[in-house]
Amino acid sequence: MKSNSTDCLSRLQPADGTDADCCPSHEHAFSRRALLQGAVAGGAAFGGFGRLFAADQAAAAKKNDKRVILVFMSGGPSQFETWDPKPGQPTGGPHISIPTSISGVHFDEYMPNVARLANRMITVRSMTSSNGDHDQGGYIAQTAYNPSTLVAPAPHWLSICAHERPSADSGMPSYVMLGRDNFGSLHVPGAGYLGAKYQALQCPGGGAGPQDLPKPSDDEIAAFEQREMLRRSFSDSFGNGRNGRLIESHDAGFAQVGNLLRSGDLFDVEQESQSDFDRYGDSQLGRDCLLARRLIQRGVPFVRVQHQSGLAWDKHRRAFQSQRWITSEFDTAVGALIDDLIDRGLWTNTLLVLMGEFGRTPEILGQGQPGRNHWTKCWSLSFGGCGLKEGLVIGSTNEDGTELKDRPVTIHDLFCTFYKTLGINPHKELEFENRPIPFVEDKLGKPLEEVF
Amino acid sequence: MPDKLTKVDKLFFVDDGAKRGPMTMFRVRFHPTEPKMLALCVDRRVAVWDLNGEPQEVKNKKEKCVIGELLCPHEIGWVRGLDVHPQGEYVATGGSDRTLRLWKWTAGRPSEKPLATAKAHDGWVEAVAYSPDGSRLATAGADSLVKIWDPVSLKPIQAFSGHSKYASDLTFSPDGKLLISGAEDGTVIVRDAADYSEVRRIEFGGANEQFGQQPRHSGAHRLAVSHDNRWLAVAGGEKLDVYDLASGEIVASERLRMDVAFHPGAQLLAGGDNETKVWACDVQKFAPPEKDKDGRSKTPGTISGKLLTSIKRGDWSLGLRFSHDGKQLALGKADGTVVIYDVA
Repeated sequence: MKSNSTDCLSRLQPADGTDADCCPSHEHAFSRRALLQGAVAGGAAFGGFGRLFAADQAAAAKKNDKRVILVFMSGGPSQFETWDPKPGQPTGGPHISIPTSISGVHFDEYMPNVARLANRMITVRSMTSSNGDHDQGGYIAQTAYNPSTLVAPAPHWLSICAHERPSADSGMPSYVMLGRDNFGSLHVPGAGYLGAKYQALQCPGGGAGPQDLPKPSDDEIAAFEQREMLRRSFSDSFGNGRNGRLIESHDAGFAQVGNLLRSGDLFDVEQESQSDFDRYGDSQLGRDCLLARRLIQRGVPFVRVQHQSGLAWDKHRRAFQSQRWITSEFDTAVGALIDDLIDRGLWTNTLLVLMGEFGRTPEILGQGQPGRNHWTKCWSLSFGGCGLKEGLVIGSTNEDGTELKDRPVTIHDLFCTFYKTLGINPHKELEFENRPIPFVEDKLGKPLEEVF
Repeated sequence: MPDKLTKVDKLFFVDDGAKRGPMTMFRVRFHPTEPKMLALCVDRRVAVWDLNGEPQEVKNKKEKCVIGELLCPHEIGWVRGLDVHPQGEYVATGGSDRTLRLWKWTAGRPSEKPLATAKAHDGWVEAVAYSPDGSRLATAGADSLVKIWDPVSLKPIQAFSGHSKYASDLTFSPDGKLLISGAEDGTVIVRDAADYSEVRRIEFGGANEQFGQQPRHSGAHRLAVSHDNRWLAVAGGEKLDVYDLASGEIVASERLRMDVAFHPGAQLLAGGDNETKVWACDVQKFAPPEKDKDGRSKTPGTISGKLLTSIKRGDWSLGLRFSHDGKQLALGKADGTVVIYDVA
């Protein structure tokens, strides 16, 4: 379903406002609403800007030395059971806290590695947002756009990064997504108006590379190039008189396959040592974090890692025992990843972001107790690396975690901070359908200046 | 053999006034010598009720309720394990704060301060159990260990590994000869309670990585041994199995979850969380499953005997225990209440 709608959408929507001429007119009978709803979904993408900015991008690629790894904790991780524990309070739950490497700061007991590395990270305990729906909250937390106010399908922020700071190596994918989430159409946003070229290269998770990619060899590359030459000749004649950008977007997909074939063992995580596998933990997240390290080290600039599919952090019910498993798994994998980024000299140019779409209620109510429901008033996340200050704890909540106490941070502030860290103007606009579209909705938010 | 359960027209309720959700129950215990009931809930303290208490009006409750007190305080976390000394002189509690605490039972209630406190496990103290003669105290911890303690001084006596993941529950057999522990790795370990040597390891199964939004509980969650020391019942996230303790063979299985209790003097078995069933078991028909032509065990049979009742008590309702005289069955609920059934 998804790939069909993607193809159709990419053919339907010309970036310059002229009618597309690649498909019969009856296929144009989509409302704008339907178009947007489809296009914002993960995997869907418009024809986009194509190579309009090719020269700019080449220049950007040359100077790109920044990397991002986003570990997305789908479902809304509890701040009480991660970065902002309240042991001893009625709202505190059964988990106790442990000291971190920052004096006086405690994290959840099942995060010993993240606690040990707190002095290398920035912890935000005062995130505040307003949309407690997984789909929409996830969309906002990854695009800086509210889906109900869209005038154009917003790209994932890593797609924007891939557009603004593409891989310096043209044979290397700019944006790779490890693992899938089987929840909702908005929860993992696609490349939106940027088009297929900036869509993440999808990998199924658990350390696996792209599906159906043949093992790289000279024979495979030669066979692909032969097929590609034939396909290209058909494509060129088909493209005569049609919208060039859409054709190029289509061709970009094949070019990426060729690049992948030539990338050799890029995705072969099995080449990593057994001791590395052990350190990252026997979990899908562990293997994906190890693969993320490999990709970053080899020059892939932007990697999104999905922590389990199906809103695993969404602990409404029977929360606290199962929370131990997911928090431990997260801590082991992420702790090893931070250690390696530091040890391998990647920390100073890699931004690591650990977050979900919102937090969880102080009340231990749940839906079939005990558990915590969705909560946007005050929640936590962590990021670090890329030359940012280290060991900061930004904002706080009150004694029992029911109120935000100081330094509110919005999603828009967060994105302004991330873009500034990467040298991208957060309020830059791109034109889509003759409308200026800023990277952050309505140019809201300000960077957290204290982290620079 | 008792064959009738009748709901007692009295509801037992506890709340701390903190407006943070209901005090969902986890374990219940009757005091052996006094008309008192104790329960673990989502709190750092133990709920204690007078069974003869007068019901009172409670806001947002249709029924009048006997209000419980919250006692035996740990400073942080939740109390996870609880047992009352067989002669009723002490209460032992284990918490997610990693401590084991001993409380003197005086004038119908536990002491305000603990008699002793021990740092018991490197992780949550998940279960506490007295031996039937009260001479030993055992704990099971999230560090996968089972430990034995002096029941008065709380000095550690011995510790055993064997589980690979959080130990969830443990119990002595009524004759005191066996100590049995279960864990989230799906293993149940039967030990000789004299020298603690491993007698048998039962693969209950049901272990999972707690993957996804609503995982079933992993492995073994609650254990119970029949009054004649013959049968071991194990409840996990998806099933309740009954084993022959002498052979370790499974003899019955039901699709009931999370909770189980045996009657102290009859072959009465209660099991299940949101739906709790109570059987008068026909143990003569408990038998290992037949083998197929390739020698593989067929699916075990369901619990044989008479189903006395099926009680809907709501999702995630835990805490299931017969009184020491066998005349009552207590069922904890997720809404902060405990209901009692007379057993006759």
